[in-house]
Amino acid sequence: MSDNPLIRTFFNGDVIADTFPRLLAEGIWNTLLIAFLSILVGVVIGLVGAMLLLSTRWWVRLPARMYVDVFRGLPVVVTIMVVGVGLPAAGFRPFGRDAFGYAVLAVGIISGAYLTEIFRSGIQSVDTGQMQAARSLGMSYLSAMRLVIVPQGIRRILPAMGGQFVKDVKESSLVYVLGLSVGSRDLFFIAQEEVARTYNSSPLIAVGICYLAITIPLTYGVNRLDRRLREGPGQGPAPSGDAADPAGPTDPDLAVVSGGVK
Amino acid sequence: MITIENLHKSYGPIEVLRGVDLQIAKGETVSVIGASGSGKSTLLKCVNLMERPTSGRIVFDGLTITDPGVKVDALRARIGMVFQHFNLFPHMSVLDNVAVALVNVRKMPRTRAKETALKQLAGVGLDHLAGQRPGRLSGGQQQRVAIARALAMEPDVMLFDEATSALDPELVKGVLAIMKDLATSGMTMLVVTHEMGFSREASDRVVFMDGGVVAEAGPPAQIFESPHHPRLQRFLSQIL
Repeated sequence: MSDNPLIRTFFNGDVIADTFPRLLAEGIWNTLLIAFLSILVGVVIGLVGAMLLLSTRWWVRLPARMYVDVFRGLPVVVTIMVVGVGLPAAGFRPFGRDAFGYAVLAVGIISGAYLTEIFRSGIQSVDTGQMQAARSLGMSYLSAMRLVIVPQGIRRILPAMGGQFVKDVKESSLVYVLGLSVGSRDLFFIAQEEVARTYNSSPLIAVGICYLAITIPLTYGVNRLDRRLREGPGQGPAPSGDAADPAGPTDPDLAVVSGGVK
Repeated sequence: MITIENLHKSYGPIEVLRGVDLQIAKGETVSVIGASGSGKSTLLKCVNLMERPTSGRIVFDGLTITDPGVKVDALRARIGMVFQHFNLFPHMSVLDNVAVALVNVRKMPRTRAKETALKQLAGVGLDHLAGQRPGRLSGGQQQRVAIARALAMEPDVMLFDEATSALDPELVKGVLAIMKDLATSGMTMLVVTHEMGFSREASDRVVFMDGGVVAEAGPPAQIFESPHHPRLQRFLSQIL
């Protein structure tokens, strides 16, 4: 054991080694579950919110605008306390007395506020002619959104979305303020217990490594998906079928233009 | 097939259509010509309710489509539209561009939709590019795919909104050839165009719009050889 106080307090190998199994056995799954469910809630809210924000009627836009402004403007911990402590205290208990459901709801509501704006910008980035073309074929507004607008918009907002998902994973740590019960404790909650139990800060290093093990692959995974979609199929070398085209070079209209033409 | 009566359309204080009257018989090809800002495109977009008329009446195949409560999507499925900028869906293959509405709107099984789409693409000579993304096609090819996409729905009427205006000159011919074939085959067509050659050769009637009204209408020979309206005379002298 080193005598250096910095190493003893923060990089204490014994404490770190002792903490990891506890984090990996329970905390990491609960953190992943809270984050995943929150993102799900956030995406659903975000899609609906974005469509409301894009309405031509002001009274449809207003509630969405207020929701976005409030939950992007509030500190995360305030929202978590209001949802996780305030709502049950007021008699609104859709998830009973266990804090887990409220934790998911709180992080999801915050995520939804950011994703509403992200999705709105993605939808607006798609050329208006796309909606016109889809509607002119007889598609409903929702079908056109689902088949034509959202798939195109989502490619442009993938980096922003990935960033939001990373943020959701990190912010899920703040649900510790709700006091999670044994079995549903997240990474940070366990780390904090260990800090108190060992009088040592090394569990924070261990938990930090766990968060990075989630967030860094997530970031790179989204980046890879982004690249794959950008270079998607049909963007490769010229089609082989073109050479067999009898009209081929004589008809200028049949010549495939090299490079992407918009 | 289509009867337009006293059609008005305003955007705020700007009145774009000021009482248009026009009838299009089944199988007829009508060209709409006129200077930009004369209301041609707006008129076209009113026919499939992409724009809501401010007042007036449009009757399509016995159905007054300007009445409230008309099923807009069902109406549009019967009216094909081709746009100036093609508006193909860039994230789908050429084949899926043509097939997507067959599945989503016509409720066709996927495999049959793709067969139908491939047949339509063959009709415009592009079935060999079915697997490509639209971005790899030339403008002329893209517009032919867009025509195939509209035709696949087996519409009763086809609307063309300056379908060749965004094309390089050498690509215009191929698209016009398809439009002429379509006109000869008995399709009812309303064509907003700057291609006077097409209006003259392929349309049954030419409509000259000016200031949001139909200023003069008649068979191509009359419009191009002996125009009465002074604005039409000036318009023709400027472009021919």
